[in-house]
Amino acid sequence: MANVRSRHSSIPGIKNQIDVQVGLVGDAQVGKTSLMVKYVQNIFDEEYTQTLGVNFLKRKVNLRSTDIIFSIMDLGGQKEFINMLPLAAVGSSVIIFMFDLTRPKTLQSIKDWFRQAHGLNDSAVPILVGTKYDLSIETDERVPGNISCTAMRYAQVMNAPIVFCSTAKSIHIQKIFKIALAKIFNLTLTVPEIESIGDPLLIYRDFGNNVKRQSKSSPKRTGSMERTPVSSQQ
Amino acid sequence: MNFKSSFLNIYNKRTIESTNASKNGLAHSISEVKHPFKKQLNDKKPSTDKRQSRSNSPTRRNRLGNNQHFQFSEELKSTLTKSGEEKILSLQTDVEPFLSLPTPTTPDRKPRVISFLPTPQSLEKNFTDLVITQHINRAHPIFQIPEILENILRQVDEGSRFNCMLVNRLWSRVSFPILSRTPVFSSVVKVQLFFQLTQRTTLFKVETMTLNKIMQSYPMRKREVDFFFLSDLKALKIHICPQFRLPIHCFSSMKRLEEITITGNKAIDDNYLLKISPFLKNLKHLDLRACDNISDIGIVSIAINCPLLQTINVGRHKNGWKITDISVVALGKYTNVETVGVAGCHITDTGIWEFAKSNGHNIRRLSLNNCELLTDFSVPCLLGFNYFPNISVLEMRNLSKIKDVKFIVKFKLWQKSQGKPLLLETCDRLNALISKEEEDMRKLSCIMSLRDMTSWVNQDDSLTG
Repeated sequence: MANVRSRHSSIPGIKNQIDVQVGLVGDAQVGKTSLMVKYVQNIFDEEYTQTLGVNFLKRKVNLRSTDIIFSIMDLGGQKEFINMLPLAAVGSSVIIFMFDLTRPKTLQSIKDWFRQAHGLNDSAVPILVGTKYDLSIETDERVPGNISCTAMRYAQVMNAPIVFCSTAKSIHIQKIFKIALAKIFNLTLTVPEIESIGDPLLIYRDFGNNVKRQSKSSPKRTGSMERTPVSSQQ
Repeated sequence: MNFKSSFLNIYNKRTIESTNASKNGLAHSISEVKHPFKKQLNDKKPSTDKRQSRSNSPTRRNRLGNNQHFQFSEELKSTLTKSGEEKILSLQTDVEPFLSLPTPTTPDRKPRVISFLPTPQSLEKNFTDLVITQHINRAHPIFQIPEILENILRQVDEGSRFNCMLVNRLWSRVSFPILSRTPVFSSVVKVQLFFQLTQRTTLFKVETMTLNKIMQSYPMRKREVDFFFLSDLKALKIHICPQFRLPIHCFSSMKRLEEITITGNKAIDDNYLLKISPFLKNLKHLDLRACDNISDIGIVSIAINCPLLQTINVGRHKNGWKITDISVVALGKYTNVETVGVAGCHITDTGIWEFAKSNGHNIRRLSLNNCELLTDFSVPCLLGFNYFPNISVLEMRNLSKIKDVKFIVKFKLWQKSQGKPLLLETCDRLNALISKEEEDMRKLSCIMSLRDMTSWVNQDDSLTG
């Protein structure tokens, strides 16, 4: 009887809403703003525009029972904006550290970025992202090989999944955010990893699983019925 | 009457004071004149005193001839010191031409005035009382500026406003319009006094009248109350006056009445409602809680005659059987009522279903406390089918037959997600059921969303990058 009634019920099911705040950090001109704009609006613009302070965009993903809202904070890469790092780091459940695959120097400064961001927020999931993969394979073959090896070592130290992407050619853009969500909620990912040097790396299984918050997190917190941002609690 | 006499008393004293001062002429200050005068008066006979007081009274002056005036002044002269003599004479010459002028006729003051000054003793007392009038004059001048006084009196609470009206003429004039807009009475004496005052004044509008805790049955004599002044009344509130009821004919003049609150009244019954309801075309709010003697008949007549009705409350603890489905169905059929209180009434599932079908979309607040005949197939079911889409307050305490709260919870959560939370007032038993159901539902939805997210992250997005 109850089933019959519920089928006739005109009350639609309630949608959960999950807010995930993502911070993008890294050196200037590595493509943070491009990645954000590409992911949210699916637009890629070759022209460089310097980010002053922090950019902010939202993307909503509608699932059957849940709405996921990615709030993406993009911090300008210039050194003078370092004092704005709390805006991108504090309250974020994922911090994406970005470097340019064509400029090894940008990978080195990841150390610095990581130290600072980790100091502000050690419960966020770090993800290491190498950008401009399409440009890097056009250059000398040894360079991407070296940088891949170094990046993997970095990833091990940071305990961060590593992804190489290309905004211009739309490689692994969606994957970054899916990995982020999977790591936050401890979901099972079955996407095949890409580990061979020279290919666009996609390594996530062994990294980012032992972040502090996971010991505390309970299933209750994952699906909040109210409009409370999940991310900020974590 | 008290008010009138005390006022006249003060007024009389003042006129004596002023005439004395002007006649003496030599008065540098009022107190200087008063004291020698008082001494002399003690030695005099009562008869002369009486005459003197009469001649001092302003209303009698025009009747007195010049002779009398001179006679008076002769007397006065003897009471005064020699130094004042000349000045008195000069004053007489000043006054004389004015006395010959015809004075405008004022409505005759009753001779009762004189009775305040019959004996030297009382006269003496009155003169010593003059200190009080002086004191009033010394009061802060701010209390004599009508505009400022009005602003002050607006802040005064409703109970004290009535007393402010009795302070003096200015206060009375200023506070009367404020009081008369929303008068609040808690005793019969005040009601009667107010009605007497309203008989004299016509330039005001009573908008809200409140009566509190009057235990007498009918304090107003018909002769005294014309009710014409209630024609602008918008709200009538009668709280806890068990035996009080306004005469039926007074409702015929209240064309704008929008709100009636009569709580805990035993005197109001179906007959009364049947008679007054034809006059209540504009009625929007009707609160008859704890009026046990009203039954379906009265409510149906209200429902038929008051198409604008928005709020109705017939909640009660006794005589619940008098209000049944008939009232509720009639309200649903003839009105667009938004707030319904039928606490403790014998409403059944059938009645509430009928009501919801015809009027459910208008309902904003619904009180069903202690309606013990309601079962799972009433409100929970109706909420599940979204028959009350605009409801924001639902009271359902002590509904012992309700056991399945699934739809209530579902509806509550859905309303919350829509940004219009439902306030649910329930008893402990239902609360426990609801919170358990809520927890279960939450868990289920967590599992659902985790499953959905897993399938999303594993989706093949090679096409979109």
